[in-house]
Amino acid sequence: MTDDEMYEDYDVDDDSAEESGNESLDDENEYDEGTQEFDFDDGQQSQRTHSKLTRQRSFEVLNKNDLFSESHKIIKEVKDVLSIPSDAAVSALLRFMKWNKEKLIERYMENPEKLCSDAGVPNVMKLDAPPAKTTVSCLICLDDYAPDKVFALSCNHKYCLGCWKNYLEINVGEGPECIYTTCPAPKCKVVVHQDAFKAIISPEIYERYNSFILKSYVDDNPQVKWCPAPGCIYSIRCDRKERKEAVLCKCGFQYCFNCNDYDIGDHMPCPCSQVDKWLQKASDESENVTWMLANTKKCPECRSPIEKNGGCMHMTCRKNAGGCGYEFCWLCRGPWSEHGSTTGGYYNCNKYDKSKAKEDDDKAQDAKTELEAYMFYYHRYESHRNAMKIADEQRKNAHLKEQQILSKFDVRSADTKFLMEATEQLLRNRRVLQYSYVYGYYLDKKSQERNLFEYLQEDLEKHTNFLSTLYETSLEKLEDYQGFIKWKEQVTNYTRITKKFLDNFVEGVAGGLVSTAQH
Amino acid sequence: MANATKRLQREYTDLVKAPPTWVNASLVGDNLQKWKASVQGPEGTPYEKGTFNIDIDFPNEYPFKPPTIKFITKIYHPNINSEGQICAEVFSSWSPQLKVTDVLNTIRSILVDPNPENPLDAEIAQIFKTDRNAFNKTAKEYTKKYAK
Repeated sequence: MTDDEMYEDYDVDDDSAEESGNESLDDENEYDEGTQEFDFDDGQQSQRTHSKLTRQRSFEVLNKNDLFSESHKIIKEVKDVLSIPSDAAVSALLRFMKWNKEKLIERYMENPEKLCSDAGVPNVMKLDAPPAKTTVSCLICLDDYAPDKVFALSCNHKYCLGCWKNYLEINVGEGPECIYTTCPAPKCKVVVHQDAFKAIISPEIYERYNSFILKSYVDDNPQVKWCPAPGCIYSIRCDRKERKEAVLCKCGFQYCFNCNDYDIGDHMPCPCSQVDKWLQKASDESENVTWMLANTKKCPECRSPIEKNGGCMHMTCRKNAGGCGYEFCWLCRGPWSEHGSTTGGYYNCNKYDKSKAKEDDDKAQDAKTELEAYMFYYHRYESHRNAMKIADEQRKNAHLKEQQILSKFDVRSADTKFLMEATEQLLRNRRVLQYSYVYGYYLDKKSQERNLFEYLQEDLEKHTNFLSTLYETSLEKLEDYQGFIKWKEQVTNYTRITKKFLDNFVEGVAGGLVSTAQH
Repeated sequence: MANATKRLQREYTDLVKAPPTWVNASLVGDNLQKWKASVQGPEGTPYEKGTFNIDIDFPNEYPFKPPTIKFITKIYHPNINSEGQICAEVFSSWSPQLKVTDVLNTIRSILVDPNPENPLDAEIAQIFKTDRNAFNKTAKEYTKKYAK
């Protein structure tokens, strides 16, 4: 395969993908597609060889005000084009058309009466009925009211303001569908417009109604999605349908815009399709795996049950907690002394050694071997995933440690910044490592790329663990300011090294391994 | 929020003043939000000569939310399930302008004219559509047995 052909495989451009007629190939490569730099306006692929892995920033984080002004910009445009004076009328029409401005204008041009009546705004020029002239009997509460105490939409179904208020507020209480509330009269299809809501209901409830309108603006808009982090108020616009690279919300959560899932997050270096496949498998296999993993979290020496609540894979069975002091690797449960380059040992913790299993060269063992292989990857995937789960706690602990440093060594707050940077770097490493085991699971078992991938992955594990250990150094071990500065420099340097290593890993996997590993 | 009591009081007074011939409504205890009604099976239907007891519960938000209807008497009908729950358009497209009498009228009309296209019990609906004689027979048996 020549270089040029290889690049064809990566092609992100829709047109060329169609030309090649190879959609499945395109699918397999969806992740690294997103990491390439393209000029989308003219479909030309620029600087592809040099900056194909440059991080893209083609997304935008939006807060409530942004959404408000965006939606109002659209309302204004439609008002101008269709010469409709009222915001409320256009807003209702747009909601009916799922905020598709072009389609609304087109349908309106075709047949304005039909569109408006379908949308429940039969008279866009006059949304309310003229005021009543005589006393009106409210058909809901059955009492009589003076003309100024009743209200009707253009359909002229008059009700007293008290009943209107109850009716509308109860509808808002029912949830997002309230933005399509119709006149209370039986079978009447006229939609209650925004101005009526505003005039009739309490300001707090109107605020809620308004947020449902913004919600519909986001929900109906394929280019804007809410950040999936719990409690996050932001949404993100991503104009590139094909973008597969992670987006970063202002709340700090980084995730794949396409998957848009809090649990999945950013799944670099895996393509979305691979993550789907993996999660499906994980749920299919979960019973087997849960059962087999259930009793395996004991100290390999003394069998004391051990809970892993820190980030590092280097475990010590604590004597002061009734353990034996044995140091081991959480992943393979082998002695830690055999790990790391300093001992001359071989950090072989990210490799599943199939040759061992092959000793039982029995076909009946194949299913078990496959499950064991899967468990191997699943276990590592879960370990890193769990480390991610306690990310918030880790951040909190880091802040606590910062405070301790400030008081113990009398340094400026700028001198503790490195700690948060290291925290974030560790979290990022864990996330990439987590998905690297998904990627690794689906790599061709015999390919050369696998060797290279595992070599890099092993290095990444090593760097991550080293940084983690360094990072978790107890402050009590730092005797004085000099000791602190030395530690600080070590952590800072290692954070930088690890970052570079991680970037290389991700870019290497995205750019170099995929092309040949997909077969 | 909404005060159901005042309107329920009026509706109840009106109903007692001029009750329809085919229904008898009363309060359960002195709670205006809980009614019971006995509906006479309409003539010319398999429910003829039967008396069907119904519970009517009004939510606090009434009339902005519809009442809940439950058949206490067992009935063989495609739009009423074995729990006595009832499926009718009047509830799904409720309007606060509608009243108890509208609900009772709806009940009567689905007894006269079941709607097998929108069933709550698919099996009964199927028999209603394919074998009307069998449907009528079973419905009559139910009426005789349960709706005395």
